[in-house]
Amino acid sequence: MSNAELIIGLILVLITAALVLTLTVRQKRIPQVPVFRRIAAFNKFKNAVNSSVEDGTRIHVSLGNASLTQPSSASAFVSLTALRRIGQLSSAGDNPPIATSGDSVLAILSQDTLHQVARETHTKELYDPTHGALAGVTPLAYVSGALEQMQDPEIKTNVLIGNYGSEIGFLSSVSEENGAYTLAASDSLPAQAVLYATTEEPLIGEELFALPAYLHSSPVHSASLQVQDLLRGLVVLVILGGAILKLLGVV
Amino acid sequence: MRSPLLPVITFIVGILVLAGYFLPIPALISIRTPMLDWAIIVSGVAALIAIANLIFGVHWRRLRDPSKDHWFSALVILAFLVTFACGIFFGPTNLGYQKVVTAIEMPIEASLMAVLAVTLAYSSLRLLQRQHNWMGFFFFIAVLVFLLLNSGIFSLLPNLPILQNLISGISQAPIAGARGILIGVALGSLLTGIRIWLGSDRPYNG
Amino acid sequence: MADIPCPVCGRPNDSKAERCWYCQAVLHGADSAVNKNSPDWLDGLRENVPPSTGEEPPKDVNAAADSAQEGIPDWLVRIRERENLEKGKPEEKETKFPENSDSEIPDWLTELNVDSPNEKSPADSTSAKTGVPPSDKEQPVDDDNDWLKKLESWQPEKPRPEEKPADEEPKAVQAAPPQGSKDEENWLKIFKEESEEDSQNEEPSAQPSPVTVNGDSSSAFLPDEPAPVDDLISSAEEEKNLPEPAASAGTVPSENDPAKPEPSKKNWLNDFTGIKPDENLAAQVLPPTNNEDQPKAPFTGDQSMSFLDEAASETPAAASEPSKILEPANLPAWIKALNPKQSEEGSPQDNPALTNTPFGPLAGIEGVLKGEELLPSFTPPHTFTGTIKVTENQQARAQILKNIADQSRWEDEGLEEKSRSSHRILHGIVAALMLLAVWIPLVIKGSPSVLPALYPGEVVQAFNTINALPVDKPVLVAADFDGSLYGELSWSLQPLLSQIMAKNIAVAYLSTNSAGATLFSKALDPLVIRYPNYSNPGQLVNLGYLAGGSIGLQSLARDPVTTLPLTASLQPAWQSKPFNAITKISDFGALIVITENADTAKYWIEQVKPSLGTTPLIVVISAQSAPLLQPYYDSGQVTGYISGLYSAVAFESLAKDPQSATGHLSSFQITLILVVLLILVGGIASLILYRPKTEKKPGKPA
Repeated sequence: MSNAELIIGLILVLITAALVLTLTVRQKRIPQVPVFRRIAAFNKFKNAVNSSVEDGTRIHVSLGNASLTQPSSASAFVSLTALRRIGQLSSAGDNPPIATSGDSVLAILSQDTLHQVARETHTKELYDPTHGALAGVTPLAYVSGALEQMQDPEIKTNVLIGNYGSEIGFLSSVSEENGAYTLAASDSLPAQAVLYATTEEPLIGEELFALPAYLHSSPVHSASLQVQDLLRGLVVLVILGGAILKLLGVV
Repeated sequence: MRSPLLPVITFIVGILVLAGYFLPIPALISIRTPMLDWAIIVSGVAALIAIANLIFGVHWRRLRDPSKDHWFSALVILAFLVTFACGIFFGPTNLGYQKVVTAIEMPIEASLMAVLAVTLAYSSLRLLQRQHNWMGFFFFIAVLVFLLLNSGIFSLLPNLPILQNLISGISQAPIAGARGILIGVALGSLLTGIRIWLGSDRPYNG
Repeated sequence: MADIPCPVCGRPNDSKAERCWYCQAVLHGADSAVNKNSPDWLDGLRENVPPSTGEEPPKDVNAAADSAQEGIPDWLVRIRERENLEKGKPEEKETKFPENSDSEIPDWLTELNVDSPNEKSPADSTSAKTGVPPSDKEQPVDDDNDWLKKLESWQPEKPRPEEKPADEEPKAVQAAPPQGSKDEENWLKIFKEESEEDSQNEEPSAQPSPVTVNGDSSSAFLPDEPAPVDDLISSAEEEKNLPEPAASAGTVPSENDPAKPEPSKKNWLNDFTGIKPDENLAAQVLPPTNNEDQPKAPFTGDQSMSFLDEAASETPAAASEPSKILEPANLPAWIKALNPKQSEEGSPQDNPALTNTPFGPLAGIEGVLKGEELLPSFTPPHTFTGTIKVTENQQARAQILKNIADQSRWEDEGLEEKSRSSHRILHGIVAALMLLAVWIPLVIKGSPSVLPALYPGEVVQAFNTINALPVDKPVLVAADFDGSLYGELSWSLQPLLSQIMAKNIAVAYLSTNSAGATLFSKALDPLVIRYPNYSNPGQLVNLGYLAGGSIGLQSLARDPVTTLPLTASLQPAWQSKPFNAITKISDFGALIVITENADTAKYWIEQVKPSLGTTPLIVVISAQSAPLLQPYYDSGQVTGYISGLYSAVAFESLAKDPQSATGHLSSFQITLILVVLLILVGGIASLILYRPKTEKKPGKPA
C-alpha cells in the first residue's frame, strides 16, 4: 500500500473512533434511544429469551470458529457481546446459557464472559465452567460438537452468531427440526446463503454487527451502529461518485 | 467494579499496532512485531488449554456423570491420548502417522460434507415454505439458475450469442451483491475493532 | 415466732395467722383464737363433729399415700390422715370441742337449729370443703337445728353463667365471717337478705354433685354444687358451737320464708365410715343430694352460685345420681352463633374431647379440654434434623407425579415424532436419489456429459501461467484447506500439480492450518507415483505449519526465510537447491494458494500479494467461494484461479490430460440436474400446499 493509502486509512480509523465517542457521550447526556429499522428477527429473539426464562429452558449460543488473530474475529467479538447480553437477559431463569465455539481462545473468552455475567447477576451458584467449551478444532468437528449440545431437550433457543462456512446448515436444520427458535448470523457469504434457505429469520450482511445495539447492550453499541450507517452512506456516495467520474472520463 | 487497567493496556497496545501498521516507522515496527508474536504464542498456548479442557474437562466429566451413558466420551479421550502419544513419539511428519490420521479424518469430514449437500438440497425443497415472500421467490429462482449455470449444460448451446452474454452478465450479479455485503461486513468489523480498542467492549474479564 | 404448719396442706403460715394462706383452713395454733374471735361456724363444726363410725377401720397414712398413688387427690389424703389422727386421739378432740361451748354459738345459729333438732351436721362434707376436721357427733346440736332448719328453706337458685363461678367461688371463700360479734350480725343480715332473694327462685336446682368426668370423680376436690342443707343441719345438731358465719357460706333462710320441706333426717356425716378408693370418692365425701330437699350450698349464700342450681334443675334425673356430668349451660343463641364450630359439632357433650371436668378450677365448665388426659399424652418437643425424611408413601406419590409429567412430554414428543418421521422419509428419498445420480454414471461407462465448449478466462490464465513458470525457480504452495472439501479441491489440484511436476519444478508447501500440509502430502502421493523422477530429495520441501494466520502471513511476506527457517522435519529449509536462492517471497516462481475459504484466499491476497511483485498468484478454490474471488481476478491481484469441478475439467481439457475431474463430470452434471428438478418440484409443491401458520381473522389480533 502506498503511503497515501496508509494515511487515509489511519485518518479514517481515527475519525470513526471520534464519531463513536461523540455519539456515545451525546446519548448518555440526552437519554434518547436512537430508532433503528425494525428487524423481525430481533423482536422474535427477545420473545424467545423471555420464553426460555419462563419455561426454564436453556439458550445455546454458538460462537463460530473465527480465530481472534484473524480479521474475521470481529464476528467473534460480536458473538461474545451477544453472549454476555443474553446471559444478562436470561439471568432470571434457572438455566444459564451455554456457549460452544470452534476456536480455543474464543472458548476461553466465552467461559470468562459467562463467569462475568454470573458475577454481575449474582448467580454464581449456577455458573459452570463447562458451559463455555471448545466443541471442535476444525469447522466440521466444531459443528459435530455443537450438534451434540443442541440435542439437549432443555435447549429451546439456538443463537448461531459468528464466522461459519456452509456447515452452518447442519446447525440451523437440526435446530429447526427440534422446534427450537433459531437466530443465525454470519459474516461469511456462503453461510448467509445457507441460512436463508434453512431458517425463517436469518440476518443478512452487517445485521450481525447490529445485534448488540438491538439488544440494548449499552449506548456505545447504538452509537457505533449509527456511525456504521454513516460510513455506509459515505461509501455509497464514494462509489457512486467514482462511477460517475469514471463514466465521465475524469478518473 | 471492573479494573480500568486492562482497558488502558488494550488501548495502548492497539495504538501501537495501528500506528505500526499505518506508519512505516521502524521503531513502531520493532514494537509491533514482537507484540504480534506474543499474541500468536498466547493463542497457541490457549489452543492447548482449550483442548485439554475439552478432553479432561468436558468429556471426562461426562464420563463421571452417572445419569447418562457417555461411551463416546471415553472413545474421544482414548483417541486423543493415542493420537497425541503417537504424534509425540513418531513425529508429525512421519508418513505412517500422517496416513493413519488422514485416513481417519478425511472420510469423516468428507462424509459430513456429503450429508451437508443432501441437507441443503432438502432445505432448498422447502425454501418457499420458510421464505414465502418476494425475496424468497427470487432466491429460489437464483438457486435454480446458478445450479444450471455451474453444471455446464449451457455449453450445449455455445453458438447462441445472446445466451453467452446473458450468462456472463448473470454471473456478475452475485459478485456485485457479495461486494455490497462484504463492504457492510468490513464496516461492521471496523466499528467492532474500534469498540474493543476504546475499551467499550470488554470480552475479557476485568 | 415459729411458723404454724397448716393441718390440711402442710404449708407454713405465719404464727399470727388464723387461717392458712393457701387453703384457708383453720390453723391449729389459732383455733382457740378463731373460736373466740372468729364467728366462723365451721370452726365449731370442725371441733364438735364426732369421728366417723364407719365400718372400715381408719386407714393410716401409708394407706392414704397408696391411695394417692392411685389418683386420689391430696385433700382427700389429708382428710384421711386427719381422720386417723383423730381416731387415734379422740380425747384431744373432745377436749377441743368443749371449748366451743354453747355460749359461743351465735343466736342465729341456734335459731336455725330449732327446726332440725335431730339432724346431724354433715361434718364430712364441710370438712372436705374447708379442711376442717369432722365435727364431733356427740356435741349437742339442739340449738343448731334451728338455723339449719332455716337453711332448709333456702331454695337453690338457678345456676349462674360459667363466668360467675370463678368469681363467685372466691367470694364464697372470701365470704368468711367478719370477726367480732358486731360483724356477725351484719353479715347475718346480709345473708338473710340474700336468702330472701334466693327464695324467689323457685326453680329446683339439681342436686349439687361433684363434677365428674365420665363418671370418675376420684379427683374431685371441690364440688361445684353446694352440699345439701339437710346434711348441714344434721351435722350442726351435733355441734356445740355453730359458728356465726355459717350462713355466709350459703343462703340463710329468713324466718319469714315460707315453710320449707324438712330436710332429710339422715345425717350422712354420721354414716361416714371412711373413704373407699374403689368407689366414687365425691359421692363418699360429699353429702347426697335430693331433689325434694332442694339442697343449697352452705358456702354460697348469694346468687352467684345459682347457676349450679339451675343446671341441676334442668337435669333432675342426672342430678339424682351423685356422680353425673353437669349439663351444658344453656347459652343464649347469640353466643352460640359466635361459635360456629360448636354449632356445627353440636353441643360439647357430643364431642368427647370437650366434656365437663369433674375437678379442677374449671370444674363444671363445658367445652373444656380434658386436662388430665393431656398429661399422659404430653411428649417432649420433637427435634427436627436437617435431613428430609421421605416416607415410602411420599415417594410413591412423587413417582406418580413424575410419571404424569413425563406422560405429558411423551404426548408432545409423539406429535413431534410424527412430523419428524415424515421429514426423515423425504430426506431419505432425496438422499437416495442423489446417491443414485452420483453412482450410476460412475458404474455405467459412457455416461453422457457435456464438456465445456468455452473455457473460463481465469482457468486459461492459470493454465498459461503454469506453463510459463521458470524451471529453476521453486513454487510456493499454500495448502490452506481441510479434509471436508479435499475431494473437490483434489480434482482441481491434481492437473495443476501434474503440470508442475511434469516440468520438474521444485515445490515448497506450507499451511496456516494444522492439517493442510498433511492433506497436501496425501494429494501428492498419486502424482509422485506418476512422476517418479520428481521424488528426488530436494524437490519437495514441507515447511510445516505457519502459525498466526494473517499475522503469520505478514511475517512470511516480509521474510520467509526467517519466518520458516526449518522444515517440518526440523531440517534446514533454505540450504539445498533451489531453495537456497530464496531470500524473499518474490523470489519464488509462483504462489499457489489452495483453499476452500474465500477469506483465506483474501488474506493471502491482501497480506502477501503486495510483497510478491511480479510473481503470479494462482488460487485453487472451491466453487462456493469463486464469486468472492472474481473481483480480485478482475483487479489483477489474482493471476488465475480454478474453482470447482467444471473449471478443473476445463483445465484438464486445456492440458489435454483428462484425469479424475473429467471422469466425474457426468455424475456431477446429472446430480446437479436432479437437484434442480427436485428443488423445482419442491418449490411448486410448497407454493400449492402453503398454509400460513396463523390465519388472521377480522377483529382478532394475530
